[in-house]
Amino acid sequence: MAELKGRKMSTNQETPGPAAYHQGDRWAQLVFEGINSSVSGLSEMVGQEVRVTSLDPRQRDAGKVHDLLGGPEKLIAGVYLGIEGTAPGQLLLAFDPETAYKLIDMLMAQPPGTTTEIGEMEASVLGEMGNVMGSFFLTVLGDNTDGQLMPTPPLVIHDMAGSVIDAVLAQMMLDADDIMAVETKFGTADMEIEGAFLVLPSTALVNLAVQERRAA
Amino acid sequence: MTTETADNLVVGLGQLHVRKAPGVLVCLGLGSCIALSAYDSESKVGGMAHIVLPDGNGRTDQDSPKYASSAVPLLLDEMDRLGANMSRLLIRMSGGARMAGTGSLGAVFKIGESNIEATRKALAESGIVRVAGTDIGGSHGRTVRLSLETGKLTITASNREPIEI
Repeated sequence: MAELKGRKMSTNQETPGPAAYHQGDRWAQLVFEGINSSVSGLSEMVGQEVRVTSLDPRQRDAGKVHDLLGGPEKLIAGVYLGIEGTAPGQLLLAFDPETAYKLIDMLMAQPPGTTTEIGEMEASVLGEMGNVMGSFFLTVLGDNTDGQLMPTPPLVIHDMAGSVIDAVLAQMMLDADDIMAVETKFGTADMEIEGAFLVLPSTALVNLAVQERRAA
Repeated sequence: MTTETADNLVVGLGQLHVRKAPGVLVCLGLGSCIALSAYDSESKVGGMAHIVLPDGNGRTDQDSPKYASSAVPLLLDEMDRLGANMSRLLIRMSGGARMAGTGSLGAVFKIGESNIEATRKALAESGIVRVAGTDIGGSHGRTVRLSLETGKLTITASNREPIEI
């Protein structure tokens, strides 16, 4: 376990990956900073302090990635963003639907319990939240790597976790069946708003981070 | 949530399983992926492939069942090996959804349509001229279960009634 800024972070690897992944401290540090920034963006949006409660960058079997979201049949509200620019990747922000409703109420300054389904307006709110979190995250990565990284417009998908993520995994499985996935959980001290923020980088994106470390 | 048991075999992403009754083969939470099933009611041999991508042309793992182009012949060969009568095979296909996809992300989510097309092509190339049932496309997730005892193929989706094909 590595400890960064007072927070525990597992950097275990299930299987060996490309050489760059073994130099994971730099990558993990960057992801950690990026996600902290991203979550601070969420804090600003909801007007409450939101904290990263766990962060686990790890090489994983692509077929098991949906387990990070509660299993393939688990209903989730997911916000998907592609990473464009110097090196590609994918970001997925996922919530239990009930948690998504709470967040939407907070973001829209509505009484708790107002939101009971995800329609067009609610999807737009979640998409904007994903856009802010993704932009904060990629700004940190870009600033620390000389890379230019931008999020695509967000897509909000409300369905079974497996169905939300399989098209994204398919793209990554063109390269390898073992993929780097960063699992992040966050929440507030006085309100349960646990969510998962998955970072699915291409090898090129991880290499970008490692190369900068070598140059530094 | 469906869990794997002795009688309930989960066919994971890019996997293929063929076995004799009893038991149930399950593909969980399909989006763009395809659940391709084959069943012989006499021998009660059934199989399911969880197809992820259209083809692996030129790739080192091009024979993997994650590709439609290789999953189809692998499924048929294994059915044959376990004693299924190939002339009686009931072939059914489900999945291939486009969960989202506008703008720059459209290509990512269009893969469901490519998977459907590639699976049909691979079936035709293997001499399968008739697909007995399909539940494909759309923009929703699916879980697909094949009972090896009865051959019943059940598809469930969130906010929808289960269907059989």
